[in-house]
Amino acid sequence: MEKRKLICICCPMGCRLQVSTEEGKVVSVTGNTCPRGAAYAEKEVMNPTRIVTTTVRIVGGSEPVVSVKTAQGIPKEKIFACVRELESVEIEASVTIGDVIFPNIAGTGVDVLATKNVQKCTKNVHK
Amino acid sequence: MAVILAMGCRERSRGALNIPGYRPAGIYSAGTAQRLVNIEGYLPGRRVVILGSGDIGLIMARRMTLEGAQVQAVAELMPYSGGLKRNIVQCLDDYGIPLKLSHTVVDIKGKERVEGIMLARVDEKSRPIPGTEEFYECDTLLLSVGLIPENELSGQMGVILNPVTSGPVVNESLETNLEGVFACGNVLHVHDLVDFVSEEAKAAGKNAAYYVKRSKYEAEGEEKKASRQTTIWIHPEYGVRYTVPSVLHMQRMAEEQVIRFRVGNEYKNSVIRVELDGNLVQGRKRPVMAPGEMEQVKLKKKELSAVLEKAGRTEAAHHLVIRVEEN
Ligand SMILES: Cc1cc2nc3c(=O)[nH]c(=O)nc-3n(C[C@H](O)[C@H](O)[C@H](O)COP(=O)(O)OP(=O)(O)OC[C@H]3O[C@@H](n4cnc5c(N)ncnc54)[C@H](O)[C@@H]3O)c2cc1C
Ligand code: SF4
Repeated sequence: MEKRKLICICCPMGCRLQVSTEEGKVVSVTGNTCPRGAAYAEKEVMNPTRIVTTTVRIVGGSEPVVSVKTAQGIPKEKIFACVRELESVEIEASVTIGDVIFPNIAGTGVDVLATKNVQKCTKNVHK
Repeated sequence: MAVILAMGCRERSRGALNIPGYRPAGIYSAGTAQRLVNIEGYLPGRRVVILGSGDIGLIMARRMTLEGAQVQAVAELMPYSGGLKRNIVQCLDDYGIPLKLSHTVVDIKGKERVEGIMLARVDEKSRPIPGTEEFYECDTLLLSVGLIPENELSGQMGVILNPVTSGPVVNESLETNLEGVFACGNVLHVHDLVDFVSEEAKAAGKNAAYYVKRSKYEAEGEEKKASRQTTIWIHPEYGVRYTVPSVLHMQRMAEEQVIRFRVGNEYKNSVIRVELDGNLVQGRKRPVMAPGEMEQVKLKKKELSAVLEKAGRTEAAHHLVIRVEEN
């Protein structure tokens, strides 16, 4: 049996959870004050996901980069793969909030979306 | 005419911290670093130590890590972090970044560029404990050590400031002691989330517009000043550091009034108690409160009037106390 310690993030109480797993399955959660804690622990141990926010380079825009985020949470272990894949991406201005900047990032099936508007700019072009 | 003060805050700088040593390059405020990374697209350094564990410091730890920097540690003077649990877990724990509570920077090495910094543990009075120094090699130090409301202008105008918030003392209309001068946002008190700033800004704008209209009517003699004003002074007591607003004029107050405040410590399973002239107005259970998260109570005008009526109080001035009741 394996044990892991987590802090529940579902509310500001921040309960300290102990999760026991056996053969890849959660067998017990203790330390939670309410059921949300148990559900969080189960998800965090079995399939932790995170929404990733970063920036992507813009060509010919009024600003050099645009802020972006993953449309949904992606598996936690794919965070760095996601950011590295976006490092070499360059997007032609203009960009509108909600535009798909990169589909299926790091093979997760999740798209990366723009979270800011960037206009086309003819002078003062950032490269 | 009306004026709305909305100058925001500035970040506390290195000067305000009294860190000894040279003045090498590589020391940034967290906000400046955020701007460089998120808007201008530059990474300010490769090996980073962050001083201050409020949400801004925590978020920058993750941001710099994702951009390829190595964040060695986040040091916090207090024995607890000022940031959300969620941010501690998802910005530090996820990346194995150590959070050094009760620690501060005692020395910065490097002449041209930061070469490393010395952290030391502090005692209950925040004094560094000799012999606890630890050296961290780094090229960048990010400071996320508090915000200071930008109130030089307000002071020069004669606006009275609250020593706790360093922001103006305001009434229910977010009006300062100077008639027709209103305040909102971070210049009034430091907010965690921009959403509440927007709400406050809307209220200040509405009240200022009403003030301009009303003073016109008054000049034309169309509206007589309310014959009698009922004033309620708000007093933050045990556990409550300050309130915004600090005074309510019953006649001018809306049906529902939001009072925002911060607590001075972490409280679990406690109650926020509101009393008017010693009579209970509301007691709201709070499972958890922390200094890093702004709290609020909503007061209904009807409830306040009912309490005053029931107690047979007809004076012009009343006192409302807000405090934390621990179990
Ligand atoms: C580094 C940092 C990161 C943050 N991150 C987040 C976040 O991720 N999410 C979130 O919800 N909130 C965040 N906040 C909080 C949020 O940004 C603030 O609460 C909000 O911006 C405050 O709004 P404001 O209008 O009161 O002040 P500000 O946004 O600071 O605006 C004040 C403006 O007044 C100008 N000004 C000052 N003096 C004068 C003068 N004399 N004449 C003319 N103009 C003047 C200033 O230049 C500034 O443009 C962050 C805050 C900081 C400091
Ligand atoms: S277990 Fe329940 S009470 Fe505890 S932190 Fe999680 S959501 Fe909050």
